[in-house]
Amino acid sequence: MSYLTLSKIDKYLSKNRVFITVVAFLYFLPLLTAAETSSLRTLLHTLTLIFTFGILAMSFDLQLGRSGLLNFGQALLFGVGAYMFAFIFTNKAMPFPISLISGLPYPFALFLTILVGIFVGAVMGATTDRLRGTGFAFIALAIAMLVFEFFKTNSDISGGETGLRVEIPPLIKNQFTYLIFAIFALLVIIAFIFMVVQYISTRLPVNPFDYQKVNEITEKAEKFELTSRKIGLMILGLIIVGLVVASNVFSLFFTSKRYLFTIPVQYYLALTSMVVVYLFIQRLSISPFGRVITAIAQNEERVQALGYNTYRYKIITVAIAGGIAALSGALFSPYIRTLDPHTGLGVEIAIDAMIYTIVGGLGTLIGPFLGTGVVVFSELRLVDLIENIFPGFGEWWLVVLGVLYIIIVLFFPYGIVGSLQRRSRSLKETGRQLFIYEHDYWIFALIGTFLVFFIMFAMVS
Amino acid sequence: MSLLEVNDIHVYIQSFYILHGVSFEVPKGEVTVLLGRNGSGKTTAMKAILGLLPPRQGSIRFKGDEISHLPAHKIVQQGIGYVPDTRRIFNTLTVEQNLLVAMRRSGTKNQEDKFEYIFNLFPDLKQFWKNKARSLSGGQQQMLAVARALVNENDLLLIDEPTEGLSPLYSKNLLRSLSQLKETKTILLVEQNFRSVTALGDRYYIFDDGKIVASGEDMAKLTADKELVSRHLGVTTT
Amino acid sequence: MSIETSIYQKIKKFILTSRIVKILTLVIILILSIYWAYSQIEISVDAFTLKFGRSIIDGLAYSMLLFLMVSGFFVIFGLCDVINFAHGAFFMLGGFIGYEIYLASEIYLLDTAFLNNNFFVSLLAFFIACIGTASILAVIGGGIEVFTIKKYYGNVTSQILLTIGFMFIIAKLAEIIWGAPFQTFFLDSSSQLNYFFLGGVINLGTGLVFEVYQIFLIIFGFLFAGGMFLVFQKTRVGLQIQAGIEDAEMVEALGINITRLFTLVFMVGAALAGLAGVILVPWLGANTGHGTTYLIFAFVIVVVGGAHYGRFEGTFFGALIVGMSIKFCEYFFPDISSIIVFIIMSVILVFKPGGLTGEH
Ligand SMILES: Nc1ncnc2c1ncn2[C@@H]1O[C@H](COP(=O)(O)OP(=O)(O)OP(=O)(O)O)[C@@H](O)[C@H]1O
Ligand SMILES: [Mg+2]
Repeated sequence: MSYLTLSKIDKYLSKNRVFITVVAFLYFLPLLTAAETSSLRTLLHTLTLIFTFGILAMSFDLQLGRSGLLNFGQALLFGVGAYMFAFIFTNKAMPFPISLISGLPYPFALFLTILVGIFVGAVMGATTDRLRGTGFAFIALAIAMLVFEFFKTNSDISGGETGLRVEIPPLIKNQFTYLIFAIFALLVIIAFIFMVVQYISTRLPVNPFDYQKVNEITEKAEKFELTSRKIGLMILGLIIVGLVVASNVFSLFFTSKRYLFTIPVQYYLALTSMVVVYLFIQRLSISPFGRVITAIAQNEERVQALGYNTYRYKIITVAIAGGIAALSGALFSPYIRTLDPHTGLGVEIAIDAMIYTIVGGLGTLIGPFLGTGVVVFSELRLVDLIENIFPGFGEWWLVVLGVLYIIIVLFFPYGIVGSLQRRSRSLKETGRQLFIYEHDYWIFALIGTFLVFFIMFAMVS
Repeated sequence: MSLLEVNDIHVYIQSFYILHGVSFEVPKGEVTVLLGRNGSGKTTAMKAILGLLPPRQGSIRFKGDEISHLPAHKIVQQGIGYVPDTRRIFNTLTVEQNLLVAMRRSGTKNQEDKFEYIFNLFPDLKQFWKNKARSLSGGQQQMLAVARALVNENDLLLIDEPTEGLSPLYSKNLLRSLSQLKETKTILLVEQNFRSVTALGDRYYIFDDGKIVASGEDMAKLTADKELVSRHLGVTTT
Repeated sequence: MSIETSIYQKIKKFILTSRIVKILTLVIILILSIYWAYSQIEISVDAFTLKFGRSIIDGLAYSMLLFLMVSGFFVIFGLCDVINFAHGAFFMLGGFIGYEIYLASEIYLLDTAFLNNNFFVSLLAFFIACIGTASILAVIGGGIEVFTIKKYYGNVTSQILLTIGFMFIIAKLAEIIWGAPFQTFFLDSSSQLNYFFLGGVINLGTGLVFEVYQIFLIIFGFLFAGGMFLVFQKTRVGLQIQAGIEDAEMVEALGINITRLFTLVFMVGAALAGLAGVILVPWLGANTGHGTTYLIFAFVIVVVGGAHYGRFEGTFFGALIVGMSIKFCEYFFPDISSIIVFIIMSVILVFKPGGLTGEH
């Protein structure tokens, strides 16, 4: 590794501390347990669902939050992925054209599914030529409903009332897949340790109350030096992490119980997909393409007058969103195991995606994912929680959820992340008065993430 | 005491600071003209008076009472008629219905007389009485917008760029109609073309960048300052 | 020309000049003459005509019901720019409230026994149910507007989340009280009288049988549409609402209290949803699942009629198209009866992207 790449990595790490902290934490989570029955596995299972729908919400947000395209047909884009995977991995014999793809290897299946998602998205986006606003929303809904009804009435491809049973793809049950993810997790954690060491060696010598000096840290971080102290610290961190990982991986690796791998592997798949989608949309939104679609959302005529073909931009946006939503569906179907038209194609999916996005905050990228977390977790755990506090009132959970939405609107009128962002300047100011600067945020992110997961953990066990 | 006194108002649109402490007054029975180039804040000042953009600071007195804290409809009900800059007539309603919407309950008593008065002022409206406002020509739409401010017993009329987009002949006619009104009403007028209002105005204020940069009662004196004219009115005089 | 000349003169003039009255008269004359023709001549009606006749009557009745429901959604969407996701829930709740009020007032009226005619008892009870439900829903709608939605005009996402929240709350509470959607509550099986005022049928001989209630619905629907038309064209409030749909700020600048108008419209919208709910009960019953189904219909009809700056007539014809096509397909093409709405919507949107009366 040349000096240049090293310092590039260093710079990247110092600029994205919060992101790396959270991602490292998430990658580390499955390595903590090898036991067959532990509530951590339940938590991982729940998180997998949150990541899966989080991707769906990000796809919705890419359309509504960045491009102003309200897509009520989101359910179809999701259903494309879900049904592609169901067709590929079901053990039921399928009629002719579908039978061609059955049993495709996982990576090809994923690739093909995303392609089909992009195609369906492009078809949906093609209607934006004549239609915009509500018109587009409802044409998309109409298309989705037509497909939904088609699946509902044709039970030879949808399995009728009982739905299609989806087998777990062999790749997911495989310990080598797990090993690869574990190694990747290790790399992420090494990056995290690297970042921490770098932070310690630059931040600590600086007077913590001197904002000017603290501000120089980023500059410093670019001039990378390996001191013996740094190396020592890193090795220490690596040994600790290595021990945890090794004990976990080895104990799992020599087991004959293949099914043990499904939960962590599915978790890793969903997590990795989410991180990739996150980075992709982040890149997209600062690219020239992203700036054009944001401009179209604000004033289409003006963008047209500048000589852009806005129609093409909108088709591409919906196509990209279609690919992302299909990815989400592809993760969902082997997770849920039985797919019927309602779970795979129902209108509720579009409504849910909209709720997740709004709760988190429109156009905030991380907001839709957080919104998904809040809503999905409440949906899953609210019944038990209410039963524990008010026995016999468990069925009131949907009422409580409704009240929760209203409370969120009252306190966060622009969604959780959106409202916080609107106040970010004053929040930053408050932090500065407490001598917390941008460089230190990752510590709070770590503590926060830890607390959130601790609470979730306590609630699932 | 003037009919309307605006005193040091500061107006924001969302988070944008638009008017930075503007003061002017509109004496009863006079025509007060606001001048200034595009985006200088004239329309904003009118909306602030109407309560559509309540000022964050400063006072607005109408007939001696403070109105800056009132909701828009309460302010308007005290006797202010508004002719907005882009007409904003109701396209889906007929000419008659446009005027009926504008008519306040107190005004319905001698409705026929009011309509007669408007027909005298703008005979075109009588001709298209039952037609949808959408089908009127631009000039007729402007007449309708002015008529809408006249169906009530208003003491003050706020008229924002009435000649915008009209042919010279039409604007001359319209300004003539306005000078007829002058006998009975007090008018606050925004106009881009300062030459056309020279005969009409009694008092002038020149806006720039959210502030008043010059004012006076005599247009000739004001326009004598060549630099001021070219800087703030965007016209080069030779 | 004047707004406050004598009411009598206005009505007289209206009856003489209005197109709606003419059309209505024509329709009534047509129906009567068809009835007369049937009673005069013995025609054997083949199965197709039978089915066709039934589908027309069913379709018309259903359209009127949809129109009643969706007109509330339309005024709220048009004037306040709020997509009211709770509208279906209002409708469903209206059905149950009306159901309960009907049964309660029936018992009460039978007890007091100042009416000993079952027909009048059920008629009066139904009338009480309609008025009661509409008032209760108006209070609920007004309360929701005043306490929550009022603060979020202009913030579309917040409104969506708010109305979805209320939709969940109402739907679940109804399920807790009245049970899951697989049970439908019908008046004739629950009523003591077991006699509903419009429970009768009109028999045209030769197997052509229509329920009186459907005929009542059709007439009521047309009258209601005529009434709405009058309100929008002739009354002060109606004109204000129409103007507000175009430009709410300008309406405020004309000295009209737009916030109060918004609250009023919300109350009226919710009341109409509730009223439609009650009126549905004698025909299709009350069911906790109705909320979602009819919400989608409301969306579709408003889009077909013209969502942006659309006019109320568009909603009427939208309801007519949707209702007729649903019932028509139920009789002739049952396979596609659940998707026909979407097919029709797509076709209309492709040819008129703004809907029947709206702007693009
Ligand atoms: N919604 C808005 N958001 C941000 N800025 C605005 C908004 N509306 C107006 N402005 C700004 O306020 C300033 C004053 O606008 P205003 O309409 O009062 O100008 P004006 O003097 O009436 O101009 P014109 O002669 O063109 O009508 C302008 O600079 C304009 O850019
Ligand atoms: Mg202006």
